Amino acid sequence: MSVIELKNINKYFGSGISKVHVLKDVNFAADRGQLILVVGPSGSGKSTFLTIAGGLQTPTSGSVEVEGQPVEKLTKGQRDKLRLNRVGFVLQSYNLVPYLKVKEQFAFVDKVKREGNLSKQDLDNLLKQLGISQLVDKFPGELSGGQTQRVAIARALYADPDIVLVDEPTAALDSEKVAEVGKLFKDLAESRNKAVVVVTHDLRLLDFADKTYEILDGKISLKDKEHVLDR
Amino acid sequence: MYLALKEIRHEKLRYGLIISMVVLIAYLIFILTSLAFGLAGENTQAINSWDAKSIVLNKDSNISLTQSTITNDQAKDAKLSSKEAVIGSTPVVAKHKGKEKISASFIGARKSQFIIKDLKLTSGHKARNNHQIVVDEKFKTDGYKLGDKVTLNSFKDKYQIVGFTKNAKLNVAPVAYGTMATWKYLRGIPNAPVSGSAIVSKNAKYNAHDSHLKTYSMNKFISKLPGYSAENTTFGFMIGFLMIISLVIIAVFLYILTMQALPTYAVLRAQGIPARALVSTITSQSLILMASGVVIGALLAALTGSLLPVGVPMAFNIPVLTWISIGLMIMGVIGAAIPAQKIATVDPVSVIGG
Repeated sequence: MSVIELKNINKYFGSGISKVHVLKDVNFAADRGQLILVVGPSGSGKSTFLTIAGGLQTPTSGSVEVEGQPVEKLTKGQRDKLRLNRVGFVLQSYNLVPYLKVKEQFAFVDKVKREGNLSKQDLDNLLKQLGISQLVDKFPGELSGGQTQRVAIARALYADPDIVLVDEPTAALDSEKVAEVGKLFKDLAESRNKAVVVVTHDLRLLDFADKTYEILDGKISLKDKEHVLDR
Repeated sequence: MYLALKEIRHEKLRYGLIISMVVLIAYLIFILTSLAFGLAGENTQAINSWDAKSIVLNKDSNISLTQSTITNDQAKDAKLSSKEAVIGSTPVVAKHKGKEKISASFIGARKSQFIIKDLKLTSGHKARNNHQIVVDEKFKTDGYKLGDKVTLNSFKDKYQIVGFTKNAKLNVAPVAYGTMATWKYLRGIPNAPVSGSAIVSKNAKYNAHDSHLKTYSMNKFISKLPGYSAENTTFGFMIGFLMIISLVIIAVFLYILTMQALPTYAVLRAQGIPARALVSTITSQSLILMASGVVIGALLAALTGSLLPVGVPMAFNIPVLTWISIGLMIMGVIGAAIPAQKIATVDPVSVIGG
């Protein structure tokens, strides 16, 4: 069973003549241990896809299932719990609280989610894997862009989610850095057995993906690398 | 609470400035309240010490002790018990060579009645003849001592201070207790058939059985003391406005800080952090700011009180100040309501776009 599955998702915004059909019969599935890319140009519906997959928005029709559980049937509070326990977000704006040191970002998760987080040993290993062990006493404002992103990834993985949703992780990075980030997400997906879904317009990440979906004008389709590059 | 404390510790200057605003407001409220109670006390200390519940005055006196007279016949018909006492009141100026003049309220009373019987002295003894008086400790503060002989008003007679009592002020003036005969003499009516100015009673429903006399509750009488109600109303308004100002300040500051931090809250909501946890953060922050401001303000007010000269009438009424502190904390919670509502309704989608 796929860890997350989107079935026949449609999403409309607005009404009357300003009604926009943003997602059209979207079907999508992601398995553990895989890095899945969802690529598409600006305005294609990538962000809407991400927010629906993460339970932040409900679709107009269709169903999102996490481990077979339909998300749309959950209450707001239950969707909060789902995101807290099973979905990790790595956002463009990163997900760090500016007045918490790196180690306190994890301590805060412990305050609101008392069980199921990484053990101290696992966290130490994760920080080593991400190369940020030495940054635990620093505030986000003291970190470089790359360091901040790695801390944000650690923060997303600390709650030990099944799915990690990543929004445009390589915006404004040079090719060398893009390769680093792509390799990092692939390693994390494999070594930690997570379904990592990266939404991006950056085709330089294609080399690292196990599966690639393309969104164009709200329609999603599974594509191979060559097809996407040819377009 | 965790986020609240961490943010305050990280943003020391920003939150320090907010706390300093709360400190100033709390300090001002505490000082004004203490002054209000101090002044109110100086109006009513003597009355409170009598523990009387009602007062009988001449109907035409406009509820003024010094304007009221009770005749001997009226006093006789009033059937006084051990719970009633006749008093005579007149303003006097006490003088002693080389010492400052003191404006005082002379209270004449019978030594067989509870006003004098229950009078507690801090030193000396009660008046034994018409030329002895017991005075409030304000006299001592102004340099008078036991044995000093003072003149009252323009009379040549001298009255010896034989005792001091504390908390004996009426209408802000220190009280001098003496005999009824002395009171009549000072009023210039030594031989008139007048018994006193009023009858005070420990019985709230006491009736003097005379159509020219009227019984008033002590609270009504106190409220009619010259300037008393106006003074208290003014203080009440000032304190009320300061409470509202504290509410506005905390609400505005927290609102601005929340609006600046809204993207962070949106990210936290996207991560599944319950709105309840974030709302409790802003409420805790508000309570921490108010509590810090109130505690520092209270300490500063206490320090001010200890440094002020004795003549400044400040009375720290701890139960009232505690209620005011609780009121300020409630203002903090109310002030956090609008920012809390913003946080509770922040749309996590806003940080992603879509």
